[in-house]
Amino acid sequence: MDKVAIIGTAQWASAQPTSHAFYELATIVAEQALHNAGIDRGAVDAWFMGEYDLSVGRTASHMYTVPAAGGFYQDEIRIHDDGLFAAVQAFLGILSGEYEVVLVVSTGVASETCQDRLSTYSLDPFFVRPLGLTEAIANAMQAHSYRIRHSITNIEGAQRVVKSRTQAQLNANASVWAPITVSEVLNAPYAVYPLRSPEFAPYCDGACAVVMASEPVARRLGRPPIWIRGIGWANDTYHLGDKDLAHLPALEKAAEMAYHMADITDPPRQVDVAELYDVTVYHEIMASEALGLFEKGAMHQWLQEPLSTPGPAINPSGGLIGGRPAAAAGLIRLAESVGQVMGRAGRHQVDGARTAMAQSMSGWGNQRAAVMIVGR
Amino acid sequence: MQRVAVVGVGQTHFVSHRKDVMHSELCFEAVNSCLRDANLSIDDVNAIVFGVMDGFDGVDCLDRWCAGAAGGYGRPFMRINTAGATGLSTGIAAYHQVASGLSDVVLAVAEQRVSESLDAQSILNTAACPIYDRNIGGTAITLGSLPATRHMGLYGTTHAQRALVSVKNHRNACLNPFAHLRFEVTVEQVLQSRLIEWPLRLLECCPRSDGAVAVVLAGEHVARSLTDRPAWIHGAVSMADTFFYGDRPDVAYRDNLAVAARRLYRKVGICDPRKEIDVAELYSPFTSLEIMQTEALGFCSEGQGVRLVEEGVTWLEGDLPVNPSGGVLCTNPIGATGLVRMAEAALQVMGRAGEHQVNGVKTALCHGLGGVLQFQTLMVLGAEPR
Repeated sequence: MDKVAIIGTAQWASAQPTSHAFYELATIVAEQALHNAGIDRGAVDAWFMGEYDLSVGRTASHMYTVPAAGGFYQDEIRIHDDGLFAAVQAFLGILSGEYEVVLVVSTGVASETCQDRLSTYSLDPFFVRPLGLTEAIANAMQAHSYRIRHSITNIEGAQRVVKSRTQAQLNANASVWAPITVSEVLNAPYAVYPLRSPEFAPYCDGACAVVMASEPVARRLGRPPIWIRGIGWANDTYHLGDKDLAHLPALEKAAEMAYHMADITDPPRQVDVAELYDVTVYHEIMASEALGLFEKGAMHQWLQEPLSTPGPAINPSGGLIGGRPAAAAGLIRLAESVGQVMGRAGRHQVDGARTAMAQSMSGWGNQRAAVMIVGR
Repeated sequence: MQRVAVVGVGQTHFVSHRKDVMHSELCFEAVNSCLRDANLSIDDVNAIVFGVMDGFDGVDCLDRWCAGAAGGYGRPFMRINTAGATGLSTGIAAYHQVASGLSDVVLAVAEQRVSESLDAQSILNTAACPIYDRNIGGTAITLGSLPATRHMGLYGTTHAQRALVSVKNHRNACLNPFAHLRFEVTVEQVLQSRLIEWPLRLLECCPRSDGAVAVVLAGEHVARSLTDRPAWIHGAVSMADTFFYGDRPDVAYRDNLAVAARRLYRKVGICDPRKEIDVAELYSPFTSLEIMQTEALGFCSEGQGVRLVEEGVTWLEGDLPVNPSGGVLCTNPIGATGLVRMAEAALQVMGRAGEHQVNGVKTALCHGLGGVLQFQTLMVLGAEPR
């Protein structure tokens, strides 16, 4: 199989509602990513956008973001899902031989609308929408069910929040830097019972862009490229009543596919860094287990000393607890993974990271998942 | 990298309002009929690509609800939305997935229930910038009427000439069992129908339809084992233009489609589109657009689009039939429409289009259109692999 490289990335995030129009963020990250890749707009064959419509309150929002990201008189496609799915489709676009260089762009301006309220509109209007379920409630149900299954206490959850916030303080691209203590978490108001607000990833405004290139182009640029070693993506059932909430089966499938492609047989030893889609702190643990980085339920013992967890470094960037810019959150996981294996992650750099993994999820009870493994 | 062919298609009957089924059931109908057509079971499918445009269906991110019905349970699943161009973008994404060699069989599914929105135009208007554009009240119909007026001014196109496009397409739709509007019209009826937005009259505008479509694509090895007459994909392009309408060189919009077409023709080795293309399925929701699209696609020179329809070239019996299925003028399930074009083009190449089959089709062109005439998607299918 041909190889595909990542030759540049850029991130932008803000905890305060941005004064930029949402499509201006696309310009900012696209320009920066192309600059970092050392190529100009004319070298790009296709634009792959990863964005949701309703989160910016209009239909067909990519009508603005594609041209704003520089996509003019060239190929374009918009994946209406988290940005990491757009990265998967972009990878396939290069493998198909259709494109040499592509730009993946994802913007998420959560401040435009009430994200959790909007999530109810993706429920079917007959059976589930009248229940008043929101995405946060579904995520809390999953988290709670996982907590019960593995006897995880609220103190251990709070320690996990402290860990993520501590890491986020080292990440210049995080949008939530404020430190927090275990007792502050335990005394914070409930967001959705039994989860308190710091246990949820806070929505913020942000964007991310990633430049991918075919092997010949990447080698011509003369810098050591970062290779995409494996991808996986999968979908599970839609109705929450149809699944075991304490598991992430779509992610398990996606991981299996990605590991197979990357020839990874022993994930805990072969993966150095994992950037996970932790919509709640418990989803970070569930995802690590679904990815086979820890045995199911075995991570429990490491919760007491979260910073000294053995095995792969989990969310050194602070993950989504450091900020969740809607659809851009997953693509940022990829940019972070690339930064780690390039050795350019900054203050949260993991020593000797050679193989990193980005992961994202979307939908009800995290119905859908994508995984991308990158390495030197 | 591998060659890719369409090996089966499935469509639901397109109607104003499918009251008897839910969204997921509608999707299931198209998928089942497609798999039956290709003689495949869902277990043979490696991945699903799903297209729908948000806003019309009364459900946001409809892909989540329909994923299971589309066969997406436990499988790789990719959701596409490129506005009106969604359908063909879905087909192109599936094409790339198979061409990559990572999958051998990929199912492209698209669905739309425009009936779930009380007024499709008010939803389309939310796409406009709330500060500069939304208040002028522009709709998708404006995108047909402005170029129509421009064409009249530039080339002296008459109402009666445009009406001929409607007469042709309605006649074709009568031969297509899946079409939404299946009745014949005369030039007089078109000219006397209600004025919608000058100069376009009711019978020059598309309906809003409910329905779903599925197309199954396979790599060369699998395609040859399934059928001796697949529709080979020769190539595809998509094209993004600026959003702001005032930034375009001309409201007759031929620039972006003409550039996209030239790029595609170069890619697939077409030198004379008028001679080498045997049939075209275009995203033409208004009579005016079909005329201008045939010009931009190089079927004739600029301003001569009306001649093609007057001289019978684009009629079913003509030299280069355009929209033999009745086209978008008679059926428009917005986000699914582009994939219907691809399905119809494939049927023509496979020689299975039924009563609206064009004789001896070797090469077919299909087209999708989205945004403010902003996104153009094109694909060429052929009877022989390229």
